[in-house]
Amino acid sequence: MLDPDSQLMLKFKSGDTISFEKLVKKYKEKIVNVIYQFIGDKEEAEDLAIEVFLRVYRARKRYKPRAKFTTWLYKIAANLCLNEIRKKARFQTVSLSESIPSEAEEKLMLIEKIANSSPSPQDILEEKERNTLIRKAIDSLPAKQRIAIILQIYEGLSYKEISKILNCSVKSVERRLYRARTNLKEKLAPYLKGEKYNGGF
Amino acid sequence: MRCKRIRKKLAAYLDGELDERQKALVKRHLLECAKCRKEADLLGRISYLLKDRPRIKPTLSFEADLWRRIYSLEKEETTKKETTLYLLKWATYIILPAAVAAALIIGVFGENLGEKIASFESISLEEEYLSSIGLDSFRDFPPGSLSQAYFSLIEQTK
Ligand SMILES: [Zn+2]
Repeated sequence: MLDPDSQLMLKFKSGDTISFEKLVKKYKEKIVNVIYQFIGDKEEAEDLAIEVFLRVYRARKRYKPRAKFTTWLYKIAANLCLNEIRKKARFQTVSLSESIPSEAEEKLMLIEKIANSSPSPQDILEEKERNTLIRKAIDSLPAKQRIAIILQIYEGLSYKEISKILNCSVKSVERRLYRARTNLKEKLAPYLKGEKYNGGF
Repeated sequence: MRCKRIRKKLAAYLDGELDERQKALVKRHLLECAKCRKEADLLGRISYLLKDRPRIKPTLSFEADLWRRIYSLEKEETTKKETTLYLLKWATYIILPAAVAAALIIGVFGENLGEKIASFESISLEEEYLSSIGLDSFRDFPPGSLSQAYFSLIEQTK
């Protein structure tokens, strides 16, 4: 039995543009957010999400419902994210000589910012600082670990679904997610204590 | 040694991805081993921290931007078709006279062959070429749809 989204896609294939509009409406927020968690920039995330749907549009004539529609959609998004990272990595090796603030400098900037912003409540700043640190921790993950953990944590996908999206075995998804967590554990150490958290098992 | 093996399974355990047998094995170990229990707690906190991140909303112009991209893509493809037809047309200007000349030389110039060549050149390509430039193919979007509204807007601004 075909999932309803694949049915919409088949209708679109045979010329019904409204079906395409329905799919865009249904999934634009999900796709924007998956990419946003991966890239960390709102505008860029939206541009890439538009590119995802543009690819869906272009692929309509060749579309065959081999997997769930969302698996296919996430696959397009994941590939775009991975390409983007590759592009950026190439660019960074070129522009590495430009002054990038060191970690110590950034910390100092943050301390100064906190010192200079007297009226705002302390916890808002703490949250900002925490978000920056989490962002950095996510950015530091190898691309495939990053996409796997985003799909698992934000989209709640199973290892099996992730393996289909990333074209790899369930075992390798398990390994990636284990390594991602080990990497994150080191980077997020200061925030892993004293959180209002009531256990996961 | 045992702890090391269990730790590799902890993430999958927390994600609910272990089969019943492995799940029971890890659980039993966690009840006995304080160190692994602490590790599991840390891993759980990581998911919690990440899950807590702010989500964003797509901008209001998301769909309009998408349709603008689709429109320019379609236009690009039409231009490509147009160029190919142009090339074809020019090719016939060269190839046809050459064919006629060849026919003359070989001496198989029949009575109605000349007419056939002339009519082929003037009608068929011209018609195909003209219909390919138009945007007629975009007009069949269902009435009332966003895409239809978008295309009618573009038509008006032309
Ligand atoms: Zn242990």
